[in-house]
Amino acid sequence: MVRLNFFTLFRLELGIKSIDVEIEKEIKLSDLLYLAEKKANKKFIHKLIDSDGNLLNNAIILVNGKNVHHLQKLETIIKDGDELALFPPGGGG
Amino acid sequence: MANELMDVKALRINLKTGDIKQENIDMELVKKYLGGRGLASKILKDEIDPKIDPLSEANKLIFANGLLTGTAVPTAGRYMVVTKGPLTGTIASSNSGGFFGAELRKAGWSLVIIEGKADKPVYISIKDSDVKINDASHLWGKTTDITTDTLIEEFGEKNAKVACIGPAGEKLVKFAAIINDKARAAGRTGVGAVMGSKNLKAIVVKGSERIDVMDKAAFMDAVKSKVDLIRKDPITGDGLPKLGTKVLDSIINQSGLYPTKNFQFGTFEYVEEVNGEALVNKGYLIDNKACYACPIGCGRDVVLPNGRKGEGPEYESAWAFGADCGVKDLIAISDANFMCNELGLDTISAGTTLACAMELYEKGYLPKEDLKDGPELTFGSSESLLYYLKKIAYREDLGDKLAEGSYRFAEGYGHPELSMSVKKQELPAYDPRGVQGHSLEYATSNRGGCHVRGYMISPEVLGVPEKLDPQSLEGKAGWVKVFQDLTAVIDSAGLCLFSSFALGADDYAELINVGTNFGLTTDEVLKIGERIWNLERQFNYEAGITPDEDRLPDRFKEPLPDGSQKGSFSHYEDLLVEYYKARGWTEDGIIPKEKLQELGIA
Ligand code: SF4
Repeated sequence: MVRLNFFTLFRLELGIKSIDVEIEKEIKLSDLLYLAEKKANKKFIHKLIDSDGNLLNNAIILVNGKNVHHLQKLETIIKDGDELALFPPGGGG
Repeated sequence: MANELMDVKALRINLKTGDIKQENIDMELVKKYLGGRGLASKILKDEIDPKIDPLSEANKLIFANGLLTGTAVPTAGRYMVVTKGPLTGTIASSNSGGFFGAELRKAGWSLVIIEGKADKPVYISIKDSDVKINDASHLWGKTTDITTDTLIEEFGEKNAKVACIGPAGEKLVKFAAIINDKARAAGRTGVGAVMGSKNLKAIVVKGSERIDVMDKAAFMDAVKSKVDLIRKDPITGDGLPKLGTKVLDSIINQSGLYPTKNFQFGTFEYVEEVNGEALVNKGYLIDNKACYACPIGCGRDVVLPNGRKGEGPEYESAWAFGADCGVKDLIAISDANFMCNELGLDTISAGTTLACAMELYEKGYLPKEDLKDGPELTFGSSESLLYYLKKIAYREDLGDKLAEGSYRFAEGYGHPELSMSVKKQELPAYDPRGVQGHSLEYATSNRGGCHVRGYMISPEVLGVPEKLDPQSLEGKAGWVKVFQDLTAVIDSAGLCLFSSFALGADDYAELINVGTNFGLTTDEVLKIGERIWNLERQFNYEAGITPDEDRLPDRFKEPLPDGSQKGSFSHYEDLLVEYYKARGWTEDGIIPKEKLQELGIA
């Protein structure tokens, strides 16, 4: 099982705090996101990935606390037991 | 009177003699320093001896609008207060939004240079060119909200704008703020204490002239295109309007950089109680609020269940009273924020100073008898926040020592290493151990511990303009330099730093050029930023602040004990030499004469 935790505007606008997705084997992050979107029955991927399928510079996806921009981006391999944190672009100061 | 963008005027007011003079600023100087932070720093450096006591009569206090303040450019409502700061002894410049700066510019004034000290409390009233110094005995001791309401009524202009100090500024608290429009603060570096030292309670202003530019059509086209960029950007068009700066709590906590209990930890177990999402879900947030000409509107309009209302809390303020003090009570945190606005205190330094006191107390270095009748200063005590904030503002009991800021306070108890400050100013809401560029930015900031001199969190955590690995050292020195220089430009143009989530250096250059006949390239605009940075640094050096003070508290050499950055520590010392080199300074961090000449400073 992989847990995806939603924060900031995702949490407020989708009304989801977290969802769990069962995976049978290791899977790519992009595939996991589509599975999660299906399970949640709510659209959120468009806030993380552009229309060409690239991860946005300012999308924040952490896998066990590590930003996937510094792993393999959308190709990052997700394993059973991993925990993800998802944020649409955000900033302040 | 005509009010042209290219007509930059200063009011020079001597509070001792009562002299009020009008001066025209040479446009060549404006082309070199733009306005706001840059122009006022140049004037301050030319006119005062950097070695003076910041709270002496010899210090000057400059209210400075940016070049574009008061125009239709998005976020062009910012002004700066520039002086020698009492907390750090460095040049102090503190930025604020709201409507005061724009009103001052509409009255025809880009700068108000305050000199000397009044014999008794006074306030300054400005109605276009009608400028007076008035008795303020009846306002002395009053909070900023009452002062503002009273002055607007007395002045007889219901749309007048007020910038004032509260009791904290009068009592010369070293981190006293200047509050305008009741809830916007020129918060950092203790500018409110300098105002108090001059017996100046407030400035009230009403302006009546729009600002004209040469090519209005081109100007408005540029304005429109930048508003579009800001509206379309997910951060400035969506995240900030909806969640305000508190969109950051979860991001920074999950990234392991959320300083907790005086920076002992990098995550806060009760973050879900106090984050931006909680402010919305608990129903405290009523609406968002915008400063002058701002399409973003990151301000928060909040009503608490106890009936108290106000603006905020912002991310930094809520963190300072929340995680940093271990407090999970969002009502108390918001109340502390409102209280700081009313008393005229900087929230970051106030919260971080209390957090330092809590650590000293828990470690047994601060004896119980020093608390007098006050509540125990333990992490998590929301009661102590409100109690000691008041004590600080009025300098009563332990508050008198706390009012000196965390460094002097901790030093007084023999443990300066427990002050989380740089150059004696308290650090804001990002643990530097997990972000190496930001760590360098803290160490080299010209006004002491500060996140808005080169916000490296943007590339290192938020992925703007691109995502950099927060732990990598490669190229970071150069990034910090460019961010510091560009920020100096934004501050001097009179725009809000948050616009930079959507706009880049080319956009700022375009906005400056379209309003003036400067015809600057983007590189030349960045050179202006570099000039300002070097001028501030040189002021500090001449004030006796040497490169030895480009350092972080030793705590940040220790690994982070928790969170996703567990085990990391700050490598800023490894970056310093590269940074000095990128800046063209000596390897000891001194600005050589040739560099000063190249920039036209010496
Ligand atoms: S973004 Fe926020 S702080 Fe900046 S000008 Fe707009 S409302 Fe004010």
